[in-house]
Amino acid sequence: MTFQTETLDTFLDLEPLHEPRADQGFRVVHPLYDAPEAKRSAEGLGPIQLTPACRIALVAVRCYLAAILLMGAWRAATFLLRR
Amino acid sequence: MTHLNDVSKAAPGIQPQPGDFLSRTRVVKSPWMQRLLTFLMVFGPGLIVMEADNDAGAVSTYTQAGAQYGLKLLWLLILLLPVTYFCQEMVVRLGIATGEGHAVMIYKRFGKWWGRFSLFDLQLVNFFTLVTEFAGISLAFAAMGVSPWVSVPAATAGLITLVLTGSYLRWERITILLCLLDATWFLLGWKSGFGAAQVARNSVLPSMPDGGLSFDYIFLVIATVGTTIAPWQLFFQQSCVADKKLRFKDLNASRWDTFIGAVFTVVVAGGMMLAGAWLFRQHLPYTDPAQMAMAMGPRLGPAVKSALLMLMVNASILGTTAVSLSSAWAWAEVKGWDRSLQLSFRQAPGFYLTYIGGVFLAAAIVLIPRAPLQAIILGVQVLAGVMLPSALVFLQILLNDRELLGDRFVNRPWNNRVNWLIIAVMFALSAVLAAQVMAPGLFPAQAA
Repeated sequence: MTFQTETLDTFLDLEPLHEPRADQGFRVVHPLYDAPEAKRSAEGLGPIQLTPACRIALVAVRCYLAAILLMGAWRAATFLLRR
Repeated sequence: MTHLNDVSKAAPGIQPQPGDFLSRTRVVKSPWMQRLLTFLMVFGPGLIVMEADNDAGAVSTYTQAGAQYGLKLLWLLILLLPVTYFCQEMVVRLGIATGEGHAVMIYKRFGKWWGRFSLFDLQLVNFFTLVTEFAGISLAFAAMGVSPWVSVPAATAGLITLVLTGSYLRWERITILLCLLDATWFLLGWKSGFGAAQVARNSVLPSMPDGGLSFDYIFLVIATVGTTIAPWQLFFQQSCVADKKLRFKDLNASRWDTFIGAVFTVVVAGGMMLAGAWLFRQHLPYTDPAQMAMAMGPRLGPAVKSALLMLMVNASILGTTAVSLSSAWAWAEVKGWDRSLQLSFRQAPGFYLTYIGGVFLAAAIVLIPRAPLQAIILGVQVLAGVMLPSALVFLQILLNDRELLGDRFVNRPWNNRVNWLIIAVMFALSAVLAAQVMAPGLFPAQAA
């Protein structure tokens, strides 16, 4: 059985090539050598919309980091006082 | 018979690696062959990110867990398998959906303050982790009679050469090979002489150590959790997915890659724990993995000793390349520099210099006589403890960003329930670990 080869134009036209075609079989293209696809972009989006759970989690992160900083300061202070 | 047809010659604009089966465009006759080939082409980042986490620190933690408590902590590894998979699956989705790394996504969606916080935290903890990786290389080679002044520069040169070839695929395949070498841990675990039934029972049934519950045990549990899920993994896999240019349709194959990586890593970690448990069974003391190898040599043979020491080196090499790359990718993303293992040094100097600079500096610190390595190891634990919960929260919030990801990639309600539970547990464990290290007098003295 022989397979028909593609021209560059049809090769870069991604979508139709991934459809199974009886005369050509199924095409597999390595992601590194495939035509780039339009990704989801953050450009032009406003500030991130937070759900209530996400808002609580972000507050928890802030409290947690503050607690860690206080513990670090306490550790440094006790270390210096002992010396 | 399935036919494969190389069509790269028909597409002169596309430049696959010459003579390379899996990098060429193929036409296959059967859909199952298409799925298999696609999976093999996508396979890599998931296995690497998982197995590279079995680094020098992990070898130390898992073997110590085995040496101190025998098989009593095996169940924890099984429990951590879905946890580590769920965390990494989220970065796969985010990476495939946006084609961008984790650091730059935090900058774009949370603003400069949180972006700088995440980046600074990542670079700091990664750098200290690198120092521990080089300490592992130095320790293992010293046990084989090789001076650190030879082993550390040689490892540095190898690690730099590994990424400077200008081929993502070459780096990925060499790294996958190194990952697969870690399967030897499974054989070492088997050599430790525990029965399959005993291993299976301890893997699924949590049990208390013989002396009862102690803080020592609790902290080893926390250390095991902290070793299995690390902040750099989130940054690494998302950047790696972006560098490999994985497409929307690769999502399922990439999930399988990640799942296989998680299973392989847990099996290897189990092998490390079993190897350590050999000392527990023989009532021998444990100091570090190199001492363990020296203790096992006379009883189990010189091959076991050499294998253990070489596996320590392998773990450190894997950890170093992955951690350094996560730093270099993150830094270059935020700076807007060109960043890809597909590019040459001339095309992406900032990206490669960040990698090389980190590796050089960490190697140099290990070569300083009487460097405070113990303090650095403690620092890594604390910083990783501080960073992990916040990194997971940012990840979870990003995966709820419907405006950015759309319905296809955003978390499902069951994803959110599972992930919030994981985050809550991580918060509690990390807080206890950080509190214990920063304020050792905070908790009562250890139980017997």
